[in-house]
Amino acid sequence: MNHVTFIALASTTLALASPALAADKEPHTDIWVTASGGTLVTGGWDHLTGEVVNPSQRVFEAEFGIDPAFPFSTDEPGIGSDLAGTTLSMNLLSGLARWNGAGFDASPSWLLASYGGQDATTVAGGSFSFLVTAGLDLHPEYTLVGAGGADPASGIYLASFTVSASGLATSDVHYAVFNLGMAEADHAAAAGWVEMNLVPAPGAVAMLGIAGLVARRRRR
Amino acid sequence: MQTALHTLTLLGAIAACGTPALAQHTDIAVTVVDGAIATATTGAEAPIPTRVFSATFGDTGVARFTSNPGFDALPGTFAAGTRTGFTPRTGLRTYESSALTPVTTEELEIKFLTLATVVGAEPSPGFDLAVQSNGGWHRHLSFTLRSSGAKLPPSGLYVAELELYSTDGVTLPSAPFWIVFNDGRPAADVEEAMAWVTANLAQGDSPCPGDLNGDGDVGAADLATLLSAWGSSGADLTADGDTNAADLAVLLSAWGACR
Repeated sequence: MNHVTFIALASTTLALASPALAADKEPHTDIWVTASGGTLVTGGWDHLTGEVVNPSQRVFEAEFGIDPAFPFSTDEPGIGSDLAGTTLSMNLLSGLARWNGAGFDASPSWLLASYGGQDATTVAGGSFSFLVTAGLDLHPEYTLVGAGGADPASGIYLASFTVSASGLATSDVHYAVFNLGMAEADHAAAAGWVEMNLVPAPGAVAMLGIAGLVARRRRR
Repeated sequence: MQTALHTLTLLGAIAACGTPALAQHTDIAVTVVDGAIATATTGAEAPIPTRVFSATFGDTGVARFTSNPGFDALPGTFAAGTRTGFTPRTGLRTYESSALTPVTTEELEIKFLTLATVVGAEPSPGFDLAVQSNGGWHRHLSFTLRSSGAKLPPSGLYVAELELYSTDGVTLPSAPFWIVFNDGRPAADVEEAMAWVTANLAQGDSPCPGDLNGDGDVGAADLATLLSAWGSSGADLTADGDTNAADLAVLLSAWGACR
């Protein structure tokens, strides 16, 4: 089964199990930040249990408009970390994309990410920083803004981030897939597409490593 | 008992003296007990009814700002589609030398996305936020200490008195609870303030803060529980993440049958 077939099947299964309910929005995992071999890495963190449920997770889902008071804002995904005493910078990369059903296109809307008076946008990029304390459970604010300040169109939006800190190598890119008013099955399909197309599978990483070794041997 | 309380408070202060300002926080566990919202500590195996909490401005590196403590209601606590919110019951006050004093120019901004309220010397209306689809309510509000005057707020201990409510039309509001916000004071001062607020404000109609086993009496069994949890969060009555002399003081001050 290739990736496209798998995604289509998974989407169909999800759609059957949960028929396009905008209100069917369950909490997703938060972003866990830790260090491995001197490099920052992200994982999936279940705040309720305090467990890191997926130590290599790089795709995170969130919903706009769960609270009608904030149709275009959310404070998810949250962030947890075990790097107490470290100041982390969450770097929002420029460029916001919107799901077209088969991939992502550049979006005229943009995302504002804020924490403690520090702002970053997908227009210019930028970052917000925070000191990790024991038991950190940080929830930045994410707001979607339409072109020219108008209300953004419904859709599934993709933003890209890295995490950096002094003395540690910057993380690989991780992705936040935000849903504004679309069915959860579409949201899951979009997140699945990101997982399959933008995040190298462990096998692919191993292949890259082998390719690197071969290249080095050849250079010798 | 008052003498014992003072002695133990003093011991707690001595024990904590010289330690850095509190960095670890515990969220406020939000439950519904007997039809009313109740607050408790998180982190222990079972929530311990608590009405005094602490927070530290600058804990994540942003001066005069914190998003702690968060509020944490487990799935199923509230009805999906309803909202849960808070109401400031008094104006902001500072704690110093066993007394609370209304602020003059200092203000506490409480914000969540586009909703905000500012608590100065007088209370202000709160606001509510949607309950999650699973009936949970996990929210981190943004707390910012600021001043309506020209100068920055002085370092100190700022005390906010709040209550929680639900819009479901059934669940009763919580009893008052307090958050002691620390801006630049040592941990011992925070412990002292929390012990004082617990003893002087939170015990009036409290469900019995030292009754760790819930038998309606604060006694030897509760003391044994507290001592066995010493140094952990297992019998943390003051919501500072630790079971220590301040908790012992709270327990001893409530010794006897619950009022």
